[in-house]
Amino acid sequence: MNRMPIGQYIPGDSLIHHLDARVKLIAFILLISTIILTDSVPGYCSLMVLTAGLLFVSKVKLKTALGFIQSLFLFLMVIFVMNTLFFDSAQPICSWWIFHISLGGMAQGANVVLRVIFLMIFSSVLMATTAPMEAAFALKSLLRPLQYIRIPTEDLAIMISVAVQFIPVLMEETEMIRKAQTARGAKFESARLREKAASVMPLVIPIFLGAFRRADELSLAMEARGYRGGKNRTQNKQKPLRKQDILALLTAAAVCFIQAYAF
Amino acid sequence: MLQNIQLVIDTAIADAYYMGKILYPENFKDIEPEKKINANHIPQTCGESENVSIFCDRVYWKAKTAMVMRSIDGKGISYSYAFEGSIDLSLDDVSICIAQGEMVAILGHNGSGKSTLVKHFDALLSLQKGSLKVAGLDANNTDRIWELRKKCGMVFQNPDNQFVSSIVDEDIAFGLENYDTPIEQIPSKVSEALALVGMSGFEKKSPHMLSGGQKQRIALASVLALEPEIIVFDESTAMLDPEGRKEVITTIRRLHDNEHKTIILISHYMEEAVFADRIYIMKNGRILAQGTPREILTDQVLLAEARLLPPLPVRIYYDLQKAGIILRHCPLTEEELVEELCRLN
Repeated sequence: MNRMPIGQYIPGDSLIHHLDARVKLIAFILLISTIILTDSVPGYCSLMVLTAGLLFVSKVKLKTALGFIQSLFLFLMVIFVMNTLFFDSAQPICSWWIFHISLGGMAQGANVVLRVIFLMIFSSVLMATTAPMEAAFALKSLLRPLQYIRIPTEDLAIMISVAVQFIPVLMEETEMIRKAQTARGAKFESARLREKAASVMPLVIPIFLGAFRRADELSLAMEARGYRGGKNRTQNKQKPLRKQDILALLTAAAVCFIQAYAF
Repeated sequence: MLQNIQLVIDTAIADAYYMGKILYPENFKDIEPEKKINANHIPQTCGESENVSIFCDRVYWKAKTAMVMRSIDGKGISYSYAFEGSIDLSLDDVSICIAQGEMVAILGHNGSGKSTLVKHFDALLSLQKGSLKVAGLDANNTDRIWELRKKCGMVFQNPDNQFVSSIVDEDIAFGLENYDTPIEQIPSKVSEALALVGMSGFEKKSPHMLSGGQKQRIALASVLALEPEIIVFDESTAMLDPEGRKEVITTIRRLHDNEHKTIILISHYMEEAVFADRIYIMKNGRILAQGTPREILTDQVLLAEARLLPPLPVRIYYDLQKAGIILRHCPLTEEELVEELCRLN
């Protein structure tokens, strides 16, 4: 049960840990754009080098960064197969009814899968190196312009950071309920699709009920500790960006630029 | 010298008398306030139980703190959860009075209304009927609700559902930030709160990686950071293993003894209530009885009526009595039981 939860902050002392959270968020967005702009083999190779460098600098273990693979494996497979089967290509290798298997389709599938994997690795690194409240604060300050169209950015930031920190708790609970329902004869492992689908309901309903109960208790606990919305709270002073923050930002922008034009 | 001692005793007894009159009106109604109170009144004020040690407990508890301040002062509180027009009262005309620095246990069967009652203390439920003052603030006054919640902290049952951050120091800072604490003061307040629960050095840990007892102590530290006068524990030990329960109870007792916090403890475990100064027993939304642990926990009939099980030493006492072995006093703790058993020879 005590495997490393996905998206957990891991306190550390690396260069990335010490970067301003706002910088990390912007750099993250830049890197995502880089991933989306990449679609060639050399492009992916250079992304791989970039990832390795990032993991090295942030001292995040590869195991942590790839922790999601296990739970997303099926999802990735489905994406790949769907793309392979349904991608409309000029020269299919073989065709049957509505299915066309083609090299182009396979390439497209691989493309999407690789993008998701890189995206997950980058977000793992972001989450592992940024404390949740720090991230919430960064989010709040980046969303500040939205205040002018009356969006409560403070509440939004708190909501997101609280929600994120409940992911491991809910996943543990899901696992527990799954086991409990298996013990009562639910057929999650069944090969027959009908039985598999029927077993989803007894899993989903308790999870939702549990989540609502947790939310209720958490809101009581937050209120008991004096939470009354985003206003009247201690405002973290806006710290100016330091040299290394600006450097990191420039690096991310440069990587994005080079990646987009070179490959 | 002798005169001084007499004076101290007289003051303590007079204090106890006035406090007793507030807390136990029925036992004190026969005594005129004008009469000079002296040690002769002790057996009478104890009512039927005629037990001097009970009164001494009260005097001790009374003399320990200046008991004029009342942390909780509630009269005629009634509450019903609206359920499709049903008018089942979860609380039915409850009056409760808790002195500053007192440790009070509220015991009761599931659904007896004890959780509903304490949710009023923190203004998490608004008063439907009756009056309630918490730390001198009117719980009905919605303008000062935030002041009230600062004075009265609350630790809940499930440790996992109380954390807003996955880092200990951020979670403790959450409460402080809600009260607009200057950012420079936050780190020192966080480490003070952690020291109070004996968990210094856990600032950068993740609550999810800690044991149940440690999680609850972190939740307690989050409450303590706001320096409340009253701390309510709403079955905070119910989900813990025996080891964690012991950790939390030891911490609670230390806060009561050293920090002089008013403690309100809701629990299923009679063994925890033994350490309280006073116990309230609730049943069906009413207060069934109140008194010192020695009065309440040794009363088999009363506990049976409230559908509670007496603590193990008390059960052993009565079982031995059935078997013809009579101990001199009914023991409350295991140590007392051992002592009594040794005295048999």
